[in-house]
Amino acid sequence: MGREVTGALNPGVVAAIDGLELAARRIVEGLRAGSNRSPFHGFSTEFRQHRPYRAGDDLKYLDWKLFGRSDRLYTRQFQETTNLAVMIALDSSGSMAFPDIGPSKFSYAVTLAAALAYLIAEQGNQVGLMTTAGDDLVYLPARGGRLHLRALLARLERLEAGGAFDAPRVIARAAQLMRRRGILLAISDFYDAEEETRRELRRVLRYGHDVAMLQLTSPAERELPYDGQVELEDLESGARREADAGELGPRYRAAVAAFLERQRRESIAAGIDYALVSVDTPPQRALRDWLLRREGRPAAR
Amino acid sequence: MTWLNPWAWAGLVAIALPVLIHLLGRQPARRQRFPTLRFIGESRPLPTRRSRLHDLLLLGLRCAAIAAAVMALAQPQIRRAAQRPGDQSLARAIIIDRSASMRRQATAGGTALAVAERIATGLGDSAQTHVTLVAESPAAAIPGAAAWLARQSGRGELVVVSDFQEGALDAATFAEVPGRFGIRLARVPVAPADTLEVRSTLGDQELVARATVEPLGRSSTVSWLPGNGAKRATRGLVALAGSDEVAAADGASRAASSVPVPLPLDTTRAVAIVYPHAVERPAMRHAGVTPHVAWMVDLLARLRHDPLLAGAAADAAVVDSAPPGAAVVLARTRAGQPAVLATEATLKGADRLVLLPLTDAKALTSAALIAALSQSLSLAPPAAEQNPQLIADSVLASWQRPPGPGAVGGRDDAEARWCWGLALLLLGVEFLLRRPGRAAIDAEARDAAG
Repeated sequence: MGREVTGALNPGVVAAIDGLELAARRIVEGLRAGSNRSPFHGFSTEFRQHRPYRAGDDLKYLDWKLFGRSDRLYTRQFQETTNLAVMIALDSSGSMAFPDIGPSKFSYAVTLAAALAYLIAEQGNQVGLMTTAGDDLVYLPARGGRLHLRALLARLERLEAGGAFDAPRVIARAAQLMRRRGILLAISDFYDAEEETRRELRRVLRYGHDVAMLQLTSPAERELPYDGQVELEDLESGARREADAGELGPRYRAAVAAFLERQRRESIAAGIDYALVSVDTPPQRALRDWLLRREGRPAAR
Repeated sequence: MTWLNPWAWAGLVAIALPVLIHLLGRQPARRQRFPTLRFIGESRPLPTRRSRLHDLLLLGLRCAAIAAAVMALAQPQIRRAAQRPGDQSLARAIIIDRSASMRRQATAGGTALAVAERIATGLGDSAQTHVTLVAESPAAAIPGAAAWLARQSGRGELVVVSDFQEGALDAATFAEVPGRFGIRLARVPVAPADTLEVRSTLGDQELVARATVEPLGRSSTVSWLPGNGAKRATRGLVALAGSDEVAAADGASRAASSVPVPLPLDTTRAVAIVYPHAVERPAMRHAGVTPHVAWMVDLLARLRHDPLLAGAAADAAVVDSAPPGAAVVLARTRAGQPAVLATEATLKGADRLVLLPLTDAKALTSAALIAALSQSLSLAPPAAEQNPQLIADSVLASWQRPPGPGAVGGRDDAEARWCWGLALLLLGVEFLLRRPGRAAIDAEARDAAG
C-alpha cells in the first residue's frame, strides 16, 4: 500500500509508527500479507498457547521471555488467525473540543485514529469507524483495501466535535456490527456514563473481542490552571457554574486524579487494555509507547 | 439658589473616575469553556449578588461625595443678601485734611495736621481694617475712599478729619457715598497765628518785633524790642525821626503796641514813617511820587479807613505844612488840614511807602499811625473773624450717620461648608462600609466553599 498523504494523516506520525513496523517486521519474516503476526503485534490478537518444549521444535518459536521468567522451556503455538477487524469508536462529543488552545482532544483523537487506520489497512487488516455526528450515528464497517481506507480517512476529516456522545449506545452498536472477532478501540475522554460505558465494554469482551481504551486528557482539565473567579461553561450541556479556581484547585485536581485512577483500575480489572494519553504528548510518541506496551502484553485469553 | 462659582460644576466630570474604577476594577468571572463540570463542586461564592449590591452602594457613596464637593466649590447661596447676618467687622476709610488751614495750631498743641493724624490713628486702630488718605481737598478724596469701602467685607465707615472750613465740604459730596457706609466727621479745633518776627529800624536802632501766640479768643500782642544794634536797611517798618523826636517816636510805638494786632504781619512791605524833624524829611517833599504800586495803594486804602488813625488825626495839631504835589493825604484834622501824608520814595535802600505825619512825634497821631499801620500789615483775616469760617457742628452732625450692616459682597461660606461637611460624611460612611464588607464576603465565601 502506498504511502498516500491524505488530509487527516500526519506523515510524521506514520513515519514513526512505520519505523516501529519495520523494526517489528524484521523479527517476523515471511508471513503472508494479512497475517496478523507480522509486523504489527499490537493489533494482533495472539491466540497462542504454550506447550512444553519438545525436542525438535523450532527454536524460532521458543518463548524466551517465558524461559527467562519461569526457567522452563515452552514453545509458542500459533493459531491461524484470520484477518483482524479493528473497529475504532471515536468520541465526537462536545467535551472533546477542549482544550481551545493547542490541539483539542478531538483533533488528537482523529490524528490517532487516522494513523492507526492507515497502519491497520497497510497490514491488510480491516478497519472500521463508529462515531456520531450530531444525533446521527456514523458507521463505516470494518473493511480492508485502499479505497475503504480513503473513504474512512475522508469521513474522519469531516468529523466535528459537538453535542453529546452516547458511549454505551455506540459501543453496543459497534459490538453488534462486528461479525468476526476483532478489536474494539475506544478513543474518548470517558467523562460520561462511566459505569454504563464500562459495562458495555465488558460485554464486548464477553463477545470475544479485544477491547482497548485510549482515554484522552489534557493538562488544563487535569489541573484547572485558572486564577480567581471563573465561570465554567460545560461544552456539552452549556451549563455554567462559577467557581473560585484558586480555591477549588487542590480539591479539583484530587478529584480528577481519583477519577482517572478509577478508570484505569476498573478497566484493567475488567480485562480492558487501558491507556491514558495526554494531548500534550506528541501523537507519534504516544502511539509508539502504546503499541510497544501492547506488544509486551501478556497473551490474551 | 444662586451659585457664586458656577464653573465649579465642570468638576462633575470627576464622577466618571469612581465609575470607571468600578467598571474596570470589577473582575467579572472569566468565562471559560470546560469539558465537564462533574468535578466542579459547589464552590461558587454565594454572596455574589450581595457583593455586587455592596459595590454599587460604595460607588454611589463615592459619586455622591464627589458631587457634594463640587457643590461646595460652586458656593451655593440659598439665603438672599438682605437676610444675611453679614460680617460684623468694621472697615474705616479715613481722610485727613491737609489743606493750608490745617497747618495752623490746634488748641490741643501742635499743628492741626499732627492732631488730625493722631485722631486718624486712633480711629484706624479701633477698626478691623482701615486705610488713611491724606488729601489737600477731602471732597476730592471721598469717592476713592467709598470705592475702597465697597471692596471690603463687613460694615464700612467713612471718616473725615479736618477743621471743616466753610466751603470744603457740602451735602452733595456726602450724598454720593452709599447709604450702607457710615460717615464720621472728626473736627480738629484750631487756633490762628504763629510766632513772627518783625524787624524795623527806629532812628539808628533796629527793633525786632516778636509776637507771642495766645490761645484762641485772646489777642496777640506786638512788642517792640531792641535789636542787635546792627544797622541795616531792612524791609519792614522803618521809622525815621529827628534826634529830639526819638523818645517821642519810641513812646508812640510803645503806645501803639497796646493795640491788639493779629499776626502774622506782612514784613515784605517796605514802609517808612518819617517824622517832621527827621533829616530825610525835606527830601521827601520833593523826591516822593504818588504811590502807584498795588500793595501801596491797598495799604493806603486800609489806612484811610482805619478809625484809630482818623480819630487821632481829627484832634491833631498840625506842626508842619503839607507840601504841594505828589503826596496823598491819609488823614485830616477836623478843620480839614492834612494830618498824615503818604508818598512813594526810595529810602534806606528800598522803594518804600513813606508816611509823613504832619503832627508832632509825641502826638497821639503818630501812635495811632503805627497802630493803624500794624493792623493794616496783618496777614490775618480781619480781627472780627479771628476764626476762619467753619462749618457749624449742627451741619456736620446732619451729615454723620452710623455704618450699616455688613455688605453682601462678603463671602459667606455657610452653605459651602455644609456641602463640604456632607462630602466628608459620605466619604466616612464609604470608608466604614468598605472595610467590614470585604471581610464579610471573604468569610461567607469560605463558609460556602468549605
